[in-house]
Amino acid sequence: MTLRPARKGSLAAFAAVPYLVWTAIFILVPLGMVLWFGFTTPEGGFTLENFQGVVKYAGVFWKSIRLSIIATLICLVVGFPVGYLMSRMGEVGQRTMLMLMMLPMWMSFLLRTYAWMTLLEREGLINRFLGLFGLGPFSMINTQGAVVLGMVYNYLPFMILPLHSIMIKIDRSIIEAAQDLGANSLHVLARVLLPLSLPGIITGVTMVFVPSVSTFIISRMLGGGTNLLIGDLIEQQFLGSTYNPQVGSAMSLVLMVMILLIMGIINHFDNGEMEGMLV
Amino acid sequence: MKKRGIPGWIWMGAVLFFLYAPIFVLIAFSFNESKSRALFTGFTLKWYKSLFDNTLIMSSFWNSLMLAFLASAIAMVLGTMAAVGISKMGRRSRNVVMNITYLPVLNPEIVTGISMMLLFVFLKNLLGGEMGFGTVLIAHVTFCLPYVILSVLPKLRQLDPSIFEAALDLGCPPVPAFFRVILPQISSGILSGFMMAFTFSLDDFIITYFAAGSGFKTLPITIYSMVRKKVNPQINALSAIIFLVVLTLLILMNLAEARKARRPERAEQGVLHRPVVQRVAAAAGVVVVGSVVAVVAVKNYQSGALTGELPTLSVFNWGEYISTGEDGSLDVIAAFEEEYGCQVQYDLYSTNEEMYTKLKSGSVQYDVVIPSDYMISRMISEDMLEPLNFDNIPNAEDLMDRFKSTDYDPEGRYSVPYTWGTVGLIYNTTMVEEAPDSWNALWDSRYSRNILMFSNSRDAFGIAERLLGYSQNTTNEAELLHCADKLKEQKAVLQTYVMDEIFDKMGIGEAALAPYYAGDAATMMAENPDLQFVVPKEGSNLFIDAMCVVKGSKQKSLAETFINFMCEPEVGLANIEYICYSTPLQSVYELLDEETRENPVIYPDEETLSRCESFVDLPVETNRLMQDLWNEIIAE
Repeated sequence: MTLRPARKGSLAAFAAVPYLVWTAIFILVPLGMVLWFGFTTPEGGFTLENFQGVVKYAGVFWKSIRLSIIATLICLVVGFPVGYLMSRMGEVGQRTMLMLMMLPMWMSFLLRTYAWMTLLEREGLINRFLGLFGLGPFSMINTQGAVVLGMVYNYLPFMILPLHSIMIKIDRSIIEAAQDLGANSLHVLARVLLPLSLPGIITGVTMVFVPSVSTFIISRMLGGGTNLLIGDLIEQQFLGSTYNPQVGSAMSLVLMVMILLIMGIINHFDNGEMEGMLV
Repeated sequence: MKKRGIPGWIWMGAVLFFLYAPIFVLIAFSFNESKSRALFTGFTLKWYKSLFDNTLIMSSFWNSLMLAFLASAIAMVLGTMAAVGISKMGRRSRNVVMNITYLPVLNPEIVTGISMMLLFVFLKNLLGGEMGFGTVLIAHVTFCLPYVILSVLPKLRQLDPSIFEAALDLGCPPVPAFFRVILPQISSGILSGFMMAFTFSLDDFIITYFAAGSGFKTLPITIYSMVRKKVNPQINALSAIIFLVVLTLLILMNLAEARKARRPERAEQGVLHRPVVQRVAAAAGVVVVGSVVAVVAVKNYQSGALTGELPTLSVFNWGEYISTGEDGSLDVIAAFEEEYGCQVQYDLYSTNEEMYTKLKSGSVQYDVVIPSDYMISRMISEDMLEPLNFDNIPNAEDLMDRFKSTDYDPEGRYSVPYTWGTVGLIYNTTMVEEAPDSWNALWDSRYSRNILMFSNSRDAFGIAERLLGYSQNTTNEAELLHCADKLKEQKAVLQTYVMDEIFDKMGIGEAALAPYYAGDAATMMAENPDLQFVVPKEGSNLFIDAMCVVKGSKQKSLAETFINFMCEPEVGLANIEYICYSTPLQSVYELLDEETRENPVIYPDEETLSRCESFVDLPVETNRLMQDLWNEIIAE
């Protein structure tokens, strides 16, 4: 790639060279290797057979997409009011809430997910609690619902934070103007609030959907091995019970293309850059 | 828009409760007297006291801190340079570069992880060396870079270019002008990029998992190996401490910010005029804290396994498969380290297939592994094992005759048996209506959702094959398809597939029935008196797990010494007493108390043994078919 300085004499563009070299070696070359593995046999010849291995698991792909879309929608519905309410708080309140949202991220997500096992099990805390009222026990762990819950739990802050950072930019007077002009709450939400926070929604949706659709930990811990997702399949091919990096690479390629497609559809709503991506 | 008022507060409160409930559960159980994660039996601080003596947890913790600090520091420097460069690029190059920058952020972590693993394995085969700290550091810098760039760029965009030009016009050369004029103005972006990189690096599991190989353990990696069987409450204690420290830091930062915000006149003066002293102090603080962490961590690291001062032996074993020193038993690993002046790196796997894949992937290197019979013969035929030098393993003489030559290793050249046993049905007498005597019980709809099943293909198919009257070593495709249907049918009544998780689940009565290995059954029965074990009438698998040395081991004779050590009578006895499996060593058997020797679970009678058969290695096509069918079963 050519580095064309924007203005004459601006050699500063070359400060990016070490980064570009680094990225080329450690991002682009590895992805190239995934591409290579996906289209070759263990002996190195070209083949499309690996993708047949993927087709066999179309059901798993579909299930991963379905569960992560559900989780993303729940995050959006739960997170949108929180983001809004936070953005209307005073400065101290906002800071406190931001802190409270980020604090859990400092605890290992493996441990937090493990704690959910303690809560959801048949002999777990929730069932014990309900048992006090003569209810249950309910089967909660090892279900698809538990997997969705794990996704929502782990990635909800990634929805709330970008929503908040875009919503603080929404001028209160715009909302007031809409109200003065006779819009009810629903109208304000649909016509003013939603369109204005769209970039935040898109970022949030991306940041929840991508890790959800590719997880292998949550499904393993809360789904009980009966709710295999794409991530589990890929992990199996590389470090799990089925050694087959070729098929694993083909699966990764399909996953990437799928995510690109879905992101493309979502981004269709908005042309801006990923705003509010960073807290 | 009108204030949401009380419903709004309730909503926020509910969300916060949802986010924090598991954390409070974690913290509460750090004070739990017993190791159970379901029952609170009494208050104790012992996990906090013993936390600091747990070398595995503490060294992983320091590793994580050191790694996060180094990775985010390197990313901070490279990323800031990159951001400056990008901001000076033409529109087209900038777009290209930015798209590449977003790649690791938008790409699923697992894809980034496996792609790097492919590269690292390739480089390892090309240049030699091992995966470990270096590869993890590279991986972390790589995924931290975008966060630094993306938080510095907006700050650069806000800059007034004329300030820099003014500096140049006044005769300041570009580089010093950058440090004096630009850097102070973008420092908040750099700092928040650093903090973000640090946070992500500290908590990263997925990419580390693929990039780490076997040589380097971060806290998340250690936690992962624990959550697969039983979490040590010391981990809960550590999390509680981390939680408190981070909470305190965040509150302090918040207070400082709030105080600053209360002095608007200063804020309005703009960044340039903020007291230099304060900035320098903040920067110095970061550097000092970071260096202290780095020094402590590096020291820790040096005293650790990987500096080459002591020879390091790496052992890859099943979970719960060695005497650990708990409850007054012998700490076998520590005893070996002390006696032979070496370090042992000890890792766990939960199925033969997982162990095989990890070795095949080329990302790990181990000296000693302990696979089962059929896997040993596969590894022998694929040239993955070293022939043993029995001059270093004189204790192998102590093996009972029938273990000196086996079907999987006829000449006994590659393996020394460690344990043997049967596979049978474990059931909770309080949860079943009558004692089961057939594998059919695992399909019994009366126990729907209370049945566990093996999460590895070979053992699971073995049960279906027995039940349907086929050989457990069948290669007949139609028979295997029939078994697969049978296993699919089972999903309707199944709670989950397990391996090591079974200890936890059967121990606390989460399930009524499960197939498992006799030795582990004996362990569980000792903990939960409601449990019973039976080898079903259709017969079962008789397994032998044996110690082998992996091809290419750099510590072959030390590995053989280790195998010999494991066959010492006292060591063998300690292991057997701890894991409850059956011993193939004559002298260990004689040292056992009568009760154990007569325990039919561990040392079954001839009639039971006559119903059992061993797995043999299957042809490649059969293995592949079985694995495909198995994936289909669990994926459905």
